[in-house]
Amino acid sequence: MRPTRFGSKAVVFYATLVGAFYAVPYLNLFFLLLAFASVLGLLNLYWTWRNIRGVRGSMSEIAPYSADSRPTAQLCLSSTSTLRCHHHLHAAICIDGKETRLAEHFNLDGNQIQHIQVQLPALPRGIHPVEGLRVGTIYPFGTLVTWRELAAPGHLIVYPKPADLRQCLKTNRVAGLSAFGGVLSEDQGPAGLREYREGDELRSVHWKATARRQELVAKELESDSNPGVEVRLDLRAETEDLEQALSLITALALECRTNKALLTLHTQNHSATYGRDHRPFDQLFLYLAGTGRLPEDSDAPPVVSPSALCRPLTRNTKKQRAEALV
Amino acid sequence: MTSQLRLCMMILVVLNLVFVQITGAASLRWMLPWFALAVLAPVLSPLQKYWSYRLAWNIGLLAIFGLLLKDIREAGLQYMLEDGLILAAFCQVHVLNNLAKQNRPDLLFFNSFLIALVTGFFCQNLAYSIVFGIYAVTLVIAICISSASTVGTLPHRHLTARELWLVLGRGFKMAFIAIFLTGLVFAFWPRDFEREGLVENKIAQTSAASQLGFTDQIRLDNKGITAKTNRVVIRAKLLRGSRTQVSEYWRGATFTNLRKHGWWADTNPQGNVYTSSRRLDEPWKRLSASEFSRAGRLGASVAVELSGAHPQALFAPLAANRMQFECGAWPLLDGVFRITSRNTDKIRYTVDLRLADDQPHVAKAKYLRDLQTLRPSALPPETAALHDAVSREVPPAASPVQVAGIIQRYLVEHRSYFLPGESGAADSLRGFIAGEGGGHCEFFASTMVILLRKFGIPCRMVSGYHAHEWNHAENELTIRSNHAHAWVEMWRPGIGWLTLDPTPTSAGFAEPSATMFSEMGESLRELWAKVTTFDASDRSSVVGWTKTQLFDLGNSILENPVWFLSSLAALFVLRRLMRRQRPSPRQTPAVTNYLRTLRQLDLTLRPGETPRQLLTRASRNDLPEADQRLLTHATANHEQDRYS
Repeated sequence: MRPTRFGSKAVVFYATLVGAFYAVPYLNLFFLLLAFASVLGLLNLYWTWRNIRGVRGSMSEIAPYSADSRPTAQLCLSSTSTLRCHHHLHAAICIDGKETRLAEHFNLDGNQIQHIQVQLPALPRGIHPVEGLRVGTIYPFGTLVTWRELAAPGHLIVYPKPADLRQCLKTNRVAGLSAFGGVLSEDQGPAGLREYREGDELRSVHWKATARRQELVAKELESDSNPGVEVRLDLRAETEDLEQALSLITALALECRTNKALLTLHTQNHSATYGRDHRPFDQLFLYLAGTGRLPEDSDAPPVVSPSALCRPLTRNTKKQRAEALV
Repeated sequence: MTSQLRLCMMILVVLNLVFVQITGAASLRWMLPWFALAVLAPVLSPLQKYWSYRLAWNIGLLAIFGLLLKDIREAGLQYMLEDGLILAAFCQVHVLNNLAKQNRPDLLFFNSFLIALVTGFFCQNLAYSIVFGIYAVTLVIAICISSASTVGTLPHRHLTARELWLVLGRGFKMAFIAIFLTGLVFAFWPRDFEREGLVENKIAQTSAASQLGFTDQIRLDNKGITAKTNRVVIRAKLLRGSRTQVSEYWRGATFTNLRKHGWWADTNPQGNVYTSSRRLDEPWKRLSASEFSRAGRLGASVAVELSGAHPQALFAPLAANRMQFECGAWPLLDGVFRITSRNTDKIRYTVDLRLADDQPHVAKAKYLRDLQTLRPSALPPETAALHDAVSREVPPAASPVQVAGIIQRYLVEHRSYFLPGESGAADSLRGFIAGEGGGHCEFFASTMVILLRKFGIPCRMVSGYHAHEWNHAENELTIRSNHAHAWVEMWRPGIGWLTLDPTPTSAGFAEPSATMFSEMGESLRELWAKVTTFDASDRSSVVGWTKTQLFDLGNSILENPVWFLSSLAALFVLRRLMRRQRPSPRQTPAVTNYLRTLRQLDLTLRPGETPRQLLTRASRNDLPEADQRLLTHATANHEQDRYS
């Protein structure tokens, strides 16, 4: 509990009144007004504390989200207080030392569980530790603010803002990307049939074949048999180039996840495949959120197949492309 | 600032202006435009985006400030507090009309409380108590609305009708709780009612003329408002005789010479007597170092305790004929005493009063000259007209006593009582005599002295205290600083001094018919007077009464434990019933119990998670077996309650 700016002014004002009271001879009316101010101050302490007492809660797990977007999260609040209603609460989250208000002026009924939709702040790429999540109030007089800590997720994973992949494909701006057009296409036809595996969606079940074979048969899409996208990322690139490359990889990862394709990423310190039967894409997003530039004298990323998408372009490649364009 | 908050602020500022109005610091004619500007604030404040509007306000403020500075220079520093009050009220109107959306109204809150506080120095009547009651509730509600409207640091959120209703309801409740607790603190908080201020001397020097209390000099050109204090200055306990034998008029100084600006005491602080009329008063004989007496049979006797009335003056009724002091004291030739040495702040002495039928000292006529003198330079020009008006009512062969009675009646009928600075009060004795306004005791007594002397009747002005507050149970007379008074002593050859008081009391005016409202008003007035005159003895009475009540209650509980326990049980049942009537359809004991169990086990429901899912999660996390059983039981109860 600490005083607000108004509260600090009120404390100075009250101290002045007390000083004036002792400066002049005793007067009943002065004492009465001073007593009124003192009683209001003490009641304010009690009422503010009572308004927040017994409030508990937590925030739902936050899936990785892209930079500059504001995902919605859910605050689950409950009160064990005998108070009928907690008035004018507000919730705030503290990330990177900066406090952001998530919700303002909501009431919470006593002995109830309440879910509140909140929007998280837009953050740059990175893994942001959540330093605090709390619910507070300045009610009733606005002179004191008091807080209750809530259970919060440990980190917010913010992966790079995805590049506009469709635009890149249309303008052919990214060399080698068109090779993965099939993978990125949404209208994939069935490539064949196979036995049903746990985790397959119901819509992928081929009902006629299932009826014929007396066992569940699933349709196999082109992407299921597709080797997917292979990307080689050189972390020694310039910061701007690296960020662009990360954006592109994020866009590819999102497409692959939607289309159930695989994505293989090779960098100096990381080499893994993501997708079905491999690592989950959330791990890739975690890597993309946390990775950073390496010094120029670092080792090169591992050699990959010629069909792999290499980002960012090396200086020689850039030069060759520029000459080709000329 | 939202329109709702601006409306609250407007009410607060209007109440501030009412505070200033009831002190009489400014006339209603001056205040009316301010009231209008305050009420029109919601309409005018959008104009603040124009620089000319802001400029006009600032020029207005500077002009008012300049006028008040001029007034302070002319009237003296003692009016600084009064002028400050007017300036603070105008600042409130200014701030209200110029508060932008990005500003907080903190200054308005603090300034309004300050105005309420300072007003209490000047005006402690019932009107103040009523306005303050309304103000206190409004202040609490306004602060609540400000707090509820605050988003971030600024109050710019418009409350919905339901929220506003809730805030109003809670605000009223909070204000009444605060007022009730304030009353308890006021009644029970131990404090020194006789405490001197740390900077009292400095303040006393600048504000002596505007304080209501005993002074050695009486200035008749005061136009400032009066700061009322109600400190106890004298306590007189009746040792012998009856209360009727103790005069209401306790003398501190006599005044014979009227000068241009007022009266000067017949004795200066060194005890020198200025006038030849000194021989009119019977001299005191010194019996011992601390005992003095005059002729006459002893009647009633009182033990006096004096504190803080005046550094040197000692007070006693005219009929005092034996004085015994615990400090050094010396009688002056006009019959009053002065302190010559003191050891403590409190002066104690005993006064014996002579019986009423005893003949006082009879002086020679040659000493009467000063008592009939009127200096033309000291007389207002309007005196002649007043004298003519009174003369028309005086029959040709009227005795001096009859003349005095006619003058007294004339003044009561044609002049009203107002404290200096109150609305309707005259600025000076000239204005009072001319009938431009009413006045206080000094104006009434001065006018009477002038008129009596015009008729050739010897008389003088006296100042001291009008003592009327008897504690009948303890036979104790309490005299407070606001009982300071001025009256007239008329010399009657062969009889001596006659005390005349021309000042009308509230009962001296036309007696209002005793309606229900007037009785209620009178009761409220009495109640409020008890608050403003509350002192150590009142507090000890309240504390004693409370202790007695608690003791009686304890005794009655011990005597009738069954009655007490059944009352407690009835209260408990009533409380349960009232709780049940609360509209909480979703709240059930099972939910309450479930939440309590979660709190005990330090578990939290995740968003969207059912109690059953939580149970599964908790069991996966190796919850101890006892806790597991507890949670299973609570979950089962909860499910049964919700779905059975």
